Amino acid sequence: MANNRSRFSNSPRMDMGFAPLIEAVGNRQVTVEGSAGVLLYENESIKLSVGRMVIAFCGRGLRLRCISGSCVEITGFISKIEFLC
Amino acid sequence: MLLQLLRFFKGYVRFRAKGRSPERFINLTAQNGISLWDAQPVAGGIEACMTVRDYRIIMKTARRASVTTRITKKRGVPFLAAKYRGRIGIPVGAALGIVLLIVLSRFIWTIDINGTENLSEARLRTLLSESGVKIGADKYYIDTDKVKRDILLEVEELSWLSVNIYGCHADVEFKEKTKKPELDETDSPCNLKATQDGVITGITAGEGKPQVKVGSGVAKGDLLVSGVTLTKDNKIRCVRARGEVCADIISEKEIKLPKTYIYNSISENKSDRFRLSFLGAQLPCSLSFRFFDNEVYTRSESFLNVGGKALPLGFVTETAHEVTSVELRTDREQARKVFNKSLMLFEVFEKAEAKIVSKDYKISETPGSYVCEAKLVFNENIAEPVDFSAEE
Repeated sequence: MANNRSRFSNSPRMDMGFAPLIEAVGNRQVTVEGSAGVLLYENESIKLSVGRMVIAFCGRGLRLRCISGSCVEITGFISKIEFLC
Repeated sequence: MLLQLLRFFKGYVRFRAKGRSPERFINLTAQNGISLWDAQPVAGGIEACMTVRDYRIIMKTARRASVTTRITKKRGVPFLAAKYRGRIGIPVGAALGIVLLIVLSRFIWTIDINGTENLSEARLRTLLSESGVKIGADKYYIDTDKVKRDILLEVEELSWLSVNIYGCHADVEFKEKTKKPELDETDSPCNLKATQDGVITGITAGEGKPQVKVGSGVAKGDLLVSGVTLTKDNKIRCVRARGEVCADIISEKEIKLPKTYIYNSISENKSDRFRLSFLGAQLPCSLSFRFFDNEVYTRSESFLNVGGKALPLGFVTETAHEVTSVELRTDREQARKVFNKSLMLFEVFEKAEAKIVSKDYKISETPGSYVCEAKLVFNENIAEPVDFSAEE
């Protein structure tokens, strides 16, 4: 039993249960599921709060195409993605 | 596309939110389950789109986020409806238009017939019309299987047909039966016999033995060329008699022409009546109270043509022409001309393959008419192949 528990606690699925799901189409479109909110919204930079960290998207002509409860879709020319912990 | 259409029907606004924390405003709207789209950062705030319903409930959220909102564009059906609220004709017209569209789409507007080679298209259209496939027919009441059965039973020359209804158009495909090839019976033995009474003027026998000579008279059914011949060994050999036997044939004809007759002619008096034709129904468009005792009608139709297809909408013009009757008297000279023409027509149409040898006629008078007694001599082939009878 103890052996089983240790095996589950070490599995990547358990550790990443609250992690955001990021889906990118080239560098033109990114969909982030699990976003807790927008911290900064500018043409060159968008920062999203995702639980314990912040994801920063840098680029040109960045736009929030669609925002719903926990999903954000960003379009534009993305040159850099930073994970700020 | 579908989403855009849905948003258009629901109505949406594009607004500008300015203040201390536009990002907070975005987060609060998202947390409250309000969807934003096309959000764009502008100086001091953001611009975004939102449905009208959502925009009405975000005021509290805007105050919490310390932003002020201002509508920059209004789009969608609710705004259009509000704009034309006072003009009742527009929604009523639109509703009537939709009803008209639904009602008119029930009917057959055009019919195409394909695949006919020898059969008359007019006949097939009449049969289709009798079976219910006609312009103006309610397409939901057309039983295509029954139409197929009825027409295939009616027209023996058809092997297959299909009635396809696409929207308001009926496409009817026909396939005719392949004709049975004629059997080649040219090798079976036969005689040549006379089809008419006459005097033989020439014999051209290909096969068989001639039984008559030039100058001899023959009656109808007499043997002209026999198909039974003898070989060098005196054995009987049956062949198919071939050849031409020309004979002079006397043809007598009597033509009568009354001395007085009624001559009907169309005068210049006429009356036009116009009708609007729509889906087979006709609506009078003009009133005409001019009637004649004797009249004949001419009818012309002109229909609206779109893309090479005649639509069932157009005008039908019916013209009544007055017919005047005059009693005329024929003199002998006129009668002679009429008789000459009649005999000429007889030669051309009834004796097309014969040569005229002589023509003689005399005109006599009876109390009420002229009578022409004509005696014509024709030269023509009177040989006809006749199979051997059991006795032969």
